[in-house]
Amino acid sequence: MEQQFIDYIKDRFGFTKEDFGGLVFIADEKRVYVTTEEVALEENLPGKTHSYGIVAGRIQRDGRTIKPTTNFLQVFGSRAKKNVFDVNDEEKELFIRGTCIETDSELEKGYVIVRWRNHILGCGFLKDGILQSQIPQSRIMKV
Amino acid sequence: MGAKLHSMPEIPGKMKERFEAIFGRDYDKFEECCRNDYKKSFRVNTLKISVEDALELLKGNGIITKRIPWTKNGFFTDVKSVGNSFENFMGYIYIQGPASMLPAMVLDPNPGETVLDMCASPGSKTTQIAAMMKNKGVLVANESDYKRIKLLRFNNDKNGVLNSVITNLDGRDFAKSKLRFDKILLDAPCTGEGIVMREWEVIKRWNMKLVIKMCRLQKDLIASAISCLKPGGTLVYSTCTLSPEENEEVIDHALKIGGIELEDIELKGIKTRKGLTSWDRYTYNERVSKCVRVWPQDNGTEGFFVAKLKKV
Repeated sequence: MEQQFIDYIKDRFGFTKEDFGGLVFIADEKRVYVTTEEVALEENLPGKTHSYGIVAGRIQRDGRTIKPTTNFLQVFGSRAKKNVFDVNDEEKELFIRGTCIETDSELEKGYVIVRWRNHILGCGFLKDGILQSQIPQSRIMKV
Repeated sequence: MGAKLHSMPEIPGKMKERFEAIFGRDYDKFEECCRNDYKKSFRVNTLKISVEDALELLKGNGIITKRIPWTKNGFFTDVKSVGNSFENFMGYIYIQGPASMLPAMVLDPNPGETVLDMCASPGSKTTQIAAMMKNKGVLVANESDYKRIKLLRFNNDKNGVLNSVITNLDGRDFAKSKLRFDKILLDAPCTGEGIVMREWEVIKRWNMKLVIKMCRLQKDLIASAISCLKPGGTLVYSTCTLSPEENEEVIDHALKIGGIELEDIELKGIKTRKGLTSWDRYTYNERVSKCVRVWPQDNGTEGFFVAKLKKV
């Protein structure tokens, strides 16, 4: 799944190999993590390892789609070259509270990186003229 | 801390008696401090933003800050809702108690080192350590309680901690680990007497049996930490409690194990007290006075205990 995720984010957001220099992607049944080479190459890690670095993607129920996480995009999203959705002040407030936004954006359908000024807010899903906030309930700002 | 008084449950007899013995003439100041309203504080997460940029953003959003004198990246604010701010949403800041920033500062981790945070959840100090390591090196964040890993995972993710691995081991099992660490933080599970002003549940939970139980666990954990430390490596032991059984007695025990030395702790901008060399009917190794006690009434913070040990 690691390579599938890397291929997807390169294709979707225009990331390059250099954007992830010194980093390694590791997958388990549910998630793809991104961590440093130093961590991934450490041979003497204790046996009961739970997870690595940060969660970069979550494997969806269909077993094929991997959704990039807001946390991953907040760290790496500024390096993306396409499918970046810019929001204005009003839309930003809606997005970080988990609200959908109507749009006439011509970006491709699918996951987008949502940006306000120079801040990467997180992951959105664009479909049928609606930008759906993909920020998890545990992360959204309270009204 | 502000002057606003709030109601707090009565401190039970035995607990009060012990606090009076620890604080002496300062007990009344301690109780008054517990009843005062406390200022919110946070640390700028330099993995995601510079201190300058964070302060500018906060100021623009009406959040006035004042630097915590003993930290580089820690700030007080009067804005209670800072936890629901844009800056917190972005992971630019981490809400953290002002004294809680001390253990990682004393540990002083550097990029490229191999570091263990033995009792890591919820991740306040893990994320602080990762920032100090600039995401370089290996940071093992261990949490023995599986249910608490979710929160640790959440905070590592939100704060962009890339150089970590989360493990789910009993801290005592690190004695068997092949991995040896340059630095270890043992921010041990404790009775939490130092945060009584913030979490009144501490009063409900507290009893002497719990103090003794914690003391036993802490002694086992520090023995395990010493055994997986590299020669010349640094171990910082900390708690947010005031009981000498959970603090000086544990360090006294560590000195009896041998192979370690206690180091002086230099902190500027904060009033600290020396570790106690005697308590009740017990006398501890005199070197235990090198440990640092942070009393709530001295600085308007949580109470903390910090000891710095070096493996010889």
